[in-house]
Amino acid sequence: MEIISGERKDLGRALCIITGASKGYGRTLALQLSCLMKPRSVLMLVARSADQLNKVKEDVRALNDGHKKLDVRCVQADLEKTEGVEKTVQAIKDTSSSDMDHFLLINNAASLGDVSRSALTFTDPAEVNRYLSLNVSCVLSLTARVLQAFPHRAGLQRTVVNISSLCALKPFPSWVLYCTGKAARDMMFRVLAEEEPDVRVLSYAPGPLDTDMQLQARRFSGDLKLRQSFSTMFSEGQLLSCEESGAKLMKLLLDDEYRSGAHVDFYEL
Amino acid sequence: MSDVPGFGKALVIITGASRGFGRALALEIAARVDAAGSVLVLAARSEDKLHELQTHVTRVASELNVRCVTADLSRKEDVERVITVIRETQCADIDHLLLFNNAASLGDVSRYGRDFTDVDEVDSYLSFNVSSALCLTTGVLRAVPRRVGLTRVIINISSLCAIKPFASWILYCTGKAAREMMFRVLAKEEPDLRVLSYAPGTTTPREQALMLFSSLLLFTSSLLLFTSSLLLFTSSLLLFTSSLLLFTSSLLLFTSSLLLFTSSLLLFISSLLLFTSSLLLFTSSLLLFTSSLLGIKASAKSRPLDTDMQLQARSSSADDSVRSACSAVHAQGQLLTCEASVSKLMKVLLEGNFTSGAHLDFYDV
Repeated sequence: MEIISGERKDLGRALCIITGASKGYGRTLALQLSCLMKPRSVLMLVARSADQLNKVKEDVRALNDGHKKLDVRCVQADLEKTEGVEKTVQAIKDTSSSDMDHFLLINNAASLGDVSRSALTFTDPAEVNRYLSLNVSCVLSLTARVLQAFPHRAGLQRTVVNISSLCALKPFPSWVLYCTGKAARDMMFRVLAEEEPDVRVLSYAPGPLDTDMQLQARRFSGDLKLRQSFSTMFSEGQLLSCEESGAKLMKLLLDDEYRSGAHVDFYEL
Repeated sequence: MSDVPGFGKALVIITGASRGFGRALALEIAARVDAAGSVLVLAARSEDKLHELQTHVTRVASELNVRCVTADLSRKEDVERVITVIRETQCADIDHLLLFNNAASLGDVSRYGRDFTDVDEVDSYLSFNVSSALCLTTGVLRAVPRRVGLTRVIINISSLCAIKPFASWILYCTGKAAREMMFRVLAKEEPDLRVLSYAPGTTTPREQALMLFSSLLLFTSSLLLFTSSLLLFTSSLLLFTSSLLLFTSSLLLFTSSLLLFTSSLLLFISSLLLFTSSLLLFTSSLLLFTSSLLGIKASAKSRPLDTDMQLQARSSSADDSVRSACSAVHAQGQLLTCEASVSKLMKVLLEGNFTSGAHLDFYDV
């Protein structure tokens, strides 16, 4: 890793895995990370849509001008299912990683859940189970398998990022699934940080992003006040661009000074 | 029972009622509702234990209508069965609805987070500990809608693990954090509800620090005691030598002025050593006293609930420090009784001063 005047300028030769990489924030993170990876790094993009993934792959290639030998791989997988998790892990195992400096997993994939209804309408455990499976269980399973596939080795930094939200800390009306899932994930990664002192664990709340998820929130939130405040944020241009929020995450990763397991918000920085 | 403050006519539902905290809760609450017109619904997996509890409850409150529902809340049909029982219950004139979401499992604490590779295992844990608690709560609230004169209270039996991570307890911590947030959202959405997350008794970090400090003091004082005993031994040896010399010198009085001098010197040294050792003994006894005081204070404040779950935590936690902390607490007989924790919860509920959605720890009350 190149260190100039005490500041790290890149992540070294890295293997980066980004889930939910086909659009929105995940796509931006893929592009930004690709610029911080040294030649012969591997960038693995995971999402459900193969077409969109391939587009991101082209964008990454174009951005890096083809000079840098970057191995960009797309894994079309549905992380809501065990098979999807297994497929992703297999793809990672197929990657040669013996002389990597850095291993980075970004758990970005998530769903908003149905925000049009109040908690009182969630009477079917199967619906809640499905939500928690994608947003909590599969994230733990993927992280555990990937950590097993890349055990501790001298000279290898392992970093796990949980894309979190203010909702992990603060309850919002009509967002019971999202808040519950994010709170569960934050705690899960805090326990992991406690257990694995050599793994760097970060829960990053990216702020209100101008993405499809935000559009969904603005249109469908059951709570009128919340919906209005999202609309105001949108019309008054208070939403953050993915680039702006991603840049702060990149800086966090490069500086590498956060406390492992911490929840760090865009607005704290 | 008229002198005991109570909930009037109430519909009370307790999950995981057959043992431990749930059982103590059932017995306590039976004495705090008007027996005539109140209904106590007890849900758990074990039919035998439920009926045994029912017999006990009837002894406390003979007129109370107690309904036992044998239910495995990890199954959707069983959650629905509890709700059906509630729908069938006559509760048009009750003052209180109290739902205690107490049922929970510890999960496998013998492994670390990196070992949870099986999605289905995590799914089934969350299904029982999170989804079913939400669906039972919403089902009950829909069956007993809002009405003037009716106070509806939802209690989430929580844990310190909802706010603090513990190594090798990833499922338990994750589940409790998820539940806590779920009930906070519910409190936000339904302002007429009273929602409380109650942690019935765990060791808080402050008390862990206190216990650590007192054990350090104990260690230091034992070291000092050892040193002072060594010094005492040395000084007694010197005294013996000097007495021998005195004896010899009395025999050889006429040539003994030199020997007398030596022995008086040795006597002087030994008295000094004796003085030092007595000082050290005094200090160490003071330290021992302080540390025992601190130990008593810490043990009085840091007692996890003595339940089957605590036994499981003690015997199978993968993390050595967590396991030995659980065992040490048990060995010293410092486990909190369920009754003590239940009565604090009763006090909080009757006073009703808590903010809806709040997390309240036994030790905060």
